[in-house]
Amino acid sequence: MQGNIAILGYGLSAIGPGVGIGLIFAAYINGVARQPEARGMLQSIAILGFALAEALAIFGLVLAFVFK
Amino acid sequence: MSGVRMSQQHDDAPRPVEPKKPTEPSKYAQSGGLFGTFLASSSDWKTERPGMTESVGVSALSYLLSGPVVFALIGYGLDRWLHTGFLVPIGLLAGMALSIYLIWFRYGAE
Amino acid sequence: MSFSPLAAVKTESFEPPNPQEFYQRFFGHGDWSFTRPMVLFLVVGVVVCTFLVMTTRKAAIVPSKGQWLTEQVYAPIRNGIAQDIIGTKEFLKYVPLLFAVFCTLLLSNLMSVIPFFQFPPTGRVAFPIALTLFVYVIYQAIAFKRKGVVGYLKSLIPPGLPMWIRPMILVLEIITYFITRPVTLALRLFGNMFAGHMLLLLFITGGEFMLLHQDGFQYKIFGIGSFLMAVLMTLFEILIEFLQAYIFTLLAATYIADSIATEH
Repeated sequence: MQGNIAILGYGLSAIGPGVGIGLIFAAYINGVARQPEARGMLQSIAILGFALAEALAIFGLVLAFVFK
Repeated sequence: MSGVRMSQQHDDAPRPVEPKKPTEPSKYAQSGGLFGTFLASSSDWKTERPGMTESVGVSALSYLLSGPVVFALIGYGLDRWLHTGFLVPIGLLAGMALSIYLIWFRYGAE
Repeated sequence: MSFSPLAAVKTESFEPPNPQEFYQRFFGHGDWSFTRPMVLFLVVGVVVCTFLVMTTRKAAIVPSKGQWLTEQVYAPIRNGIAQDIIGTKEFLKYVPLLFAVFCTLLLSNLMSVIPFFQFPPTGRVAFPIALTLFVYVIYQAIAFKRKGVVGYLKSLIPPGLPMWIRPMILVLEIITYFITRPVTLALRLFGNMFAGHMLLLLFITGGEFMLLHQDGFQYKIFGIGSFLMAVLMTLFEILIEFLQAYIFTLLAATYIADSIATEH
């Protein structure tokens, strides 16, 4: 078996943001279900949180390619 | 046809508790509600094209991908040109910051 | 080598499925060979065309079964995707494109689980690339026609940004609009189909190997478990296939909507 251990590291680093994005959108759906009229406001916040969490995953992806 | 409808009405008739069907909340939820449209009216893409809201996440993802990649590539080119070694990480960080700023500016600001 | 389950020695080592197995040539050589996904894509095209023509040629107010099915697929594309995303003013022009893309993609994704075909043409990267190029050329042509070159570039920058950051944002936006978006559109579909089919292949060949070519009680149990996993994953795959066809169409509509939008 051969390969690059950086890719393995990326796989590990994607776990955290995956869980985080799930939590963010769970909270968003919860909020919209409870209070549909707040959808516009909640969406902006959810997208921001999603971007910040996803940024970590993309950091992992890019670093896995950079520091081979 | 009318006979079928009659019988259906007849079937429905003996249930007296049901006539207040909650039609208002579902309509409310679909349109975002009065207050919802008021809130969303600050940025026009939300009211004019309601379906766009679902694909904002994907657009945000493509911004996040292209930001660090592009600026890291620019940093790599400058590194090759100037024979330095620190511009790739700087480009990476700057690209990430720029794309988060752009997403905040486009989709996050109320 | 012996395929008898009674043979005490492990007759062969397990070969996990590899990407080379996705290249299945029927005839021809090199770049001009005629492959299995090509045949399947032709079948998809013929089936979609004949089904749609047959069910809508004699469209009636009280629909037949086929017409009902077509309308069940057509309505969400027209109302849920085209109207909601492109806007009520000019969405009708783009409904045929989106509907055709959705039907083609749905059937060619489902080819992965239909018996006797059992191979997704979209699991070869050329097919998503071709479909994406089709959509890409259309939405860029619309944007350049509507806004002109300068107007298009201007429309990429959201108004109200500070002056010093605008050049960097422009670089980022150009790369996103012209490269990242089509690349992710094609690769999302390809990756999902390729990985899903690979997973099914792995579970089925692994289960077959453990059941028939390995001795020992524990291997039989693992083999049966592997087959059960394959059944579960097949159900999961059907869901993914619907979802990917829908998402591709949704994003194509989003990109078209972005290129006809005049604001920001």
